[in-house]
Amino acid sequence: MTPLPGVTTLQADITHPSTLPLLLRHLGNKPADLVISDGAPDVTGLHDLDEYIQSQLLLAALNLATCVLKPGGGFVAKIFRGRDVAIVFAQLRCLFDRVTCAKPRSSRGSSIEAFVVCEGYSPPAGFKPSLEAPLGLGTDVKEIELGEMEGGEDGDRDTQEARYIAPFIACGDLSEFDSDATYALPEVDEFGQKWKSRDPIQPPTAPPYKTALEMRRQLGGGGLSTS
Amino acid sequence: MLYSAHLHIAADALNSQDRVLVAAGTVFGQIILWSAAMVPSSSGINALKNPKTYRRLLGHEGSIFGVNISPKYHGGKCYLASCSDDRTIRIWDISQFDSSLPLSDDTEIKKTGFGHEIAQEGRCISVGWGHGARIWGVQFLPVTKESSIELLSISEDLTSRFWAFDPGQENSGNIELKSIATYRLHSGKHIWSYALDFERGLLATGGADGKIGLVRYRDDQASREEAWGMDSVLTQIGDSREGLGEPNHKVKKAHDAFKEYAALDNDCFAATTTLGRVLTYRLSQKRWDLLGQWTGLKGWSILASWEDSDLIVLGGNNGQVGVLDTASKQEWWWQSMAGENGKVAGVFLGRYYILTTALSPAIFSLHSFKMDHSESPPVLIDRETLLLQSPARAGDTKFLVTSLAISQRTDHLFLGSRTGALAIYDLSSTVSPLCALSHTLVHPTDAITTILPLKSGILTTSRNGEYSRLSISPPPNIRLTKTHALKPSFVIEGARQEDSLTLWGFHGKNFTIIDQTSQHEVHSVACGGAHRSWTHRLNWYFVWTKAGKAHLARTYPRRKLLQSGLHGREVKSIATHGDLIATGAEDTLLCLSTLSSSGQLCPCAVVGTHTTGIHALQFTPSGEYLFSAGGAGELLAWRVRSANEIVLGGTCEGWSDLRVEGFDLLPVEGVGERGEGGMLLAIGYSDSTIRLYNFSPSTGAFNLVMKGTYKTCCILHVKFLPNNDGILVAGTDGYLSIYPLSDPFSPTSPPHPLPLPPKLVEKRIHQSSVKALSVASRANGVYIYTGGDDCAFGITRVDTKNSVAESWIVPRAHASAVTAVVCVGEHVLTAGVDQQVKLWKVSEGEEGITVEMREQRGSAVADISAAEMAGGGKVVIVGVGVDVWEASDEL
Ligand SMILES: C[S@@+](CC[C@H](N)C(=O)[O-])C[C@H]1O[C@@H](n2cnc3c(N)ncnc32)[C@H](O)[C@@H]1O
Repeated sequence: MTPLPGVTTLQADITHPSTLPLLLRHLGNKPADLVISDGAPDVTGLHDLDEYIQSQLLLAALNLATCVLKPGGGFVAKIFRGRDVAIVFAQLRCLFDRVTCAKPRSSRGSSIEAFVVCEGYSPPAGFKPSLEAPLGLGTDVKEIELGEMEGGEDGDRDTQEARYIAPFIACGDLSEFDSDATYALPEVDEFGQKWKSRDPIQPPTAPPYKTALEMRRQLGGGGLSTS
Repeated sequence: MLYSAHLHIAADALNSQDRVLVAAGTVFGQIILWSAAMVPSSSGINALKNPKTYRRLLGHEGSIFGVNISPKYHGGKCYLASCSDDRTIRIWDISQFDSSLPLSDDTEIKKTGFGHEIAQEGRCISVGWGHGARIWGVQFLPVTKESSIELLSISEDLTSRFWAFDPGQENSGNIELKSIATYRLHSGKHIWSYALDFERGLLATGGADGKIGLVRYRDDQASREEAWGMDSVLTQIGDSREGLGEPNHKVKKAHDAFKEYAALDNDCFAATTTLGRVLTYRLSQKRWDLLGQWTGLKGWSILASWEDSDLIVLGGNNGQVGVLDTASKQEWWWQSMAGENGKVAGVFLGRYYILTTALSPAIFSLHSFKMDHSESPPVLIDRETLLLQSPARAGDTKFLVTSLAISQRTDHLFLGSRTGALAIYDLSSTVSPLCALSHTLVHPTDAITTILPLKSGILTTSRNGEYSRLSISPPPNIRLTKTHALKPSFVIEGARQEDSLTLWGFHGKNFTIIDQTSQHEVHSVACGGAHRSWTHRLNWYFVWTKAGKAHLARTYPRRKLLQSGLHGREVKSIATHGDLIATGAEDTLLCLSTLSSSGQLCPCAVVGTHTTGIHALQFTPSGEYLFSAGGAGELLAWRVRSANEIVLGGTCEGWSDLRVEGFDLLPVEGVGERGEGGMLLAIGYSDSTIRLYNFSPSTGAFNLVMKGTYKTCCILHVKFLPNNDGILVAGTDGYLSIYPLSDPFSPTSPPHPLPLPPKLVEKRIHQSSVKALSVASRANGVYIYTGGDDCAFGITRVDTKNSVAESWIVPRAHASAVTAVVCVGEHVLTAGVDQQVKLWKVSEGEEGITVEMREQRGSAVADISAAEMAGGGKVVIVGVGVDVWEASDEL
């Protein structure tokens, strides 16, 4: 995205081990009131994969949040309301007093995205945030003692996984534009002038396949047709 | 974040340990090549020690979705292939990777997004372009030739491709990665998975459409195209004379050129030339032979064949028609049209019939004969000629014949014309000239290219891209009824109906054969396009002229589907009538399936008429008509006889910038001009308008009778309430609204559409979009069950007489949007994007409503969008895939 005035902008992979220390360095030692994350992947169409990647981005942002949030602080992050969203809600509830799922009017109703709003940061006693051992990204592979698994009681551990359905709140004004509706353009603008469509404030970034499109144009599409 | 990785275990020459070599591709276009030593431990699980990073390969402009380390090739060469969001495949030479020093520690990197600062060691030696969308996987094949290293890739663009490069070119610094074969067996979007069997040369692919395709890739790629210039053919047959009796002038021989082709059998086809030569080519012997040369075929010749009989027919410039036995070289010639000496304009065959037409035909000649096989060689006997009156009536455009078929069973002759008309003659009649029994426009207004008599009725194909099945009522009042018609959107030239329907024709610059029943490409030959001479023997070969040369490509069936599928993109809508299931999806296809008693969906007809996703479907109560709607404001009416028989019955006006997400229909009496029954349709649009149309099945016309605007939000559902109680509307605003419906609704279409009356009831149920809605008439009122984007399940009882609605809500019924609600007897089933299916018992007591969840199960279907009851108490849930549930009321 284009840099904003008064905002320090860094470009880095939030899941990379070098990124969180970099962010911390910019924050200095001042604890933060709020951490927000709008990170999202280009969806692939494989829902399980997309939801997994989205929750990994959320987890990376959460790891930053645990290192910088002051007690009672907030965390807002984009979330995909897919199959296992209730597990993510449950996990966030371990660190925050209130977890709500909010969907603003500007987010298309037909899209799976929403925002999880976590208020009142209060990690459990004894919890120590650490960049070396971030949440959910365990690197040690423990050797399994076979005896433990034979008990058979853990057979459907999967289904016993903690799930929590966060309350949902539709936010934004109902009288605002509906992102799923079609509108006819007005004839005149608010000054009575003939309506002119303006360019977007932030134009879309060039897609990664821009060069491929150019190549295709040059080759005249011969032998490249897909449909 | 890594999107891809490939591991390769190799013995480390220096130490006695094995090392695992890892190639990993990141979301931001980097490839990291590193390795670690595998240290055995007492537990039997190896530990990894001493990691070294060798390369950070940069160049891709998008996420890396696949990496593959090649086996060791000749001369110790080793390569890495990568594929990406940027639609390229890149080849990196990593033969020497371990001779360089490892790179510095990872955590020092400051920039991990795009726009990396540091370019490190590692050379991309070639870039392959060709895929039209993201490439999900790439893999090297074991080497078969020293000069060629081959790879396979799979993509979102539905194709799998084979690529090759010549490693010998590496020193010249310019290696070309060539696409050598492309296979397309899937529809919709995405090939997600594949498997290769190098030994047998097999490739299997799996798509988002649920299909599994199989390609015999090695055999397919081994049988290459052949091509001949006329020169080489003449040299081969040792015939270099120019014309009959002319001296041997070598310089002149290039003047001859290929004219027409006809397939004789699996191994042989015939060709005519502009100088009147008739040739045959034998594929197994790779040999051309000259059958002869005739002055009557100079400058003008028509060629046709009866496949598998050795016989060909020739039409000349002098009105002569000839039958030639290519085996015995016997020939029989006669005048095709009594009293006409002009050229034979066309010949069309049935066994053994020849229809000849002249250039301005009012009369056609139908020649018949038999072959007497008691003689050796067989001889042509019993030749007769029957005259047919052209079916064109006075003032009509000429009936130019483009196809012929004879049904031995009914003794009917069918002729198709260049403008899409079909004529039927009764060959048992003795009248001369014979007049057509019927003459019907079947494919306005393009040529009928094939007529196939079926067990009952006929199948026709047209150059306008349509094929249809027609039933024929018995004489004397012959009437043709289209029972099935579809447009697979290519120029159809031929068809064969066996267990499945195979169609062939031209698609862009390709000659393409498709299996219409299972919807996959059987073969595709880049021939340059439709305008050329060609012949085709199904499953064997295709012959065509291109730039003066005769070309031949084998079309052996090297591809098949191991498993058929349904939609290749998200299913958005479903309608059912007993065991007949209609599904509509973002792939723009409408699919008719039957539901087997074991709960299996068996796909039958696939309709591709919609131009965008299909978001709403509805059968009439009789099941005779189906309506489909979606993007571009499209709403279409279909007449459905069975899962295999569907014909477009009407098209409602559309608006390219609008969507239809919901509509409903109500059978009404006396709609059409003749007062017959019809349908009243209420349609909701994305700009909040509601339109009511009368649909007349007999004319296929939609007449606007009422029009109004709901609010400004997008309308998602429109339903006629039971007992003409009103029209229910719900949208993205979370409200339920009811408009009154005057009772009885006036069936005559007013000159101007009426305005929408004021709402009877308006009530907010959900915080935002009403995603799912179901209406049930119960003993104590009409109930509306709703699912919301707000995760809630809503229950509303309406009393339209008194304009009251009472609502109850179950918040947090699901963990995400509730997108499907169906009444299962006394219970209500809900399903959502959380992939949970829940069954609720809703009961009414003294204190109002109590709701109890009786059962909850997980579904494998992601992005569930709708559910519907089907025959046998089954519930069909659709989304990314389809689930069928047995729902018993006893739960
Ligand atoms: C919905 S957009 C954010 C738009 C932004 N809030 C704005 O107003 O321009 C999601 C962004 O997340 C970024 N993203 C995806 N994966 C990431 C990762 N691993 N690290 C950092 N950013 C990532 C994408 O590049 C994309 O620009």
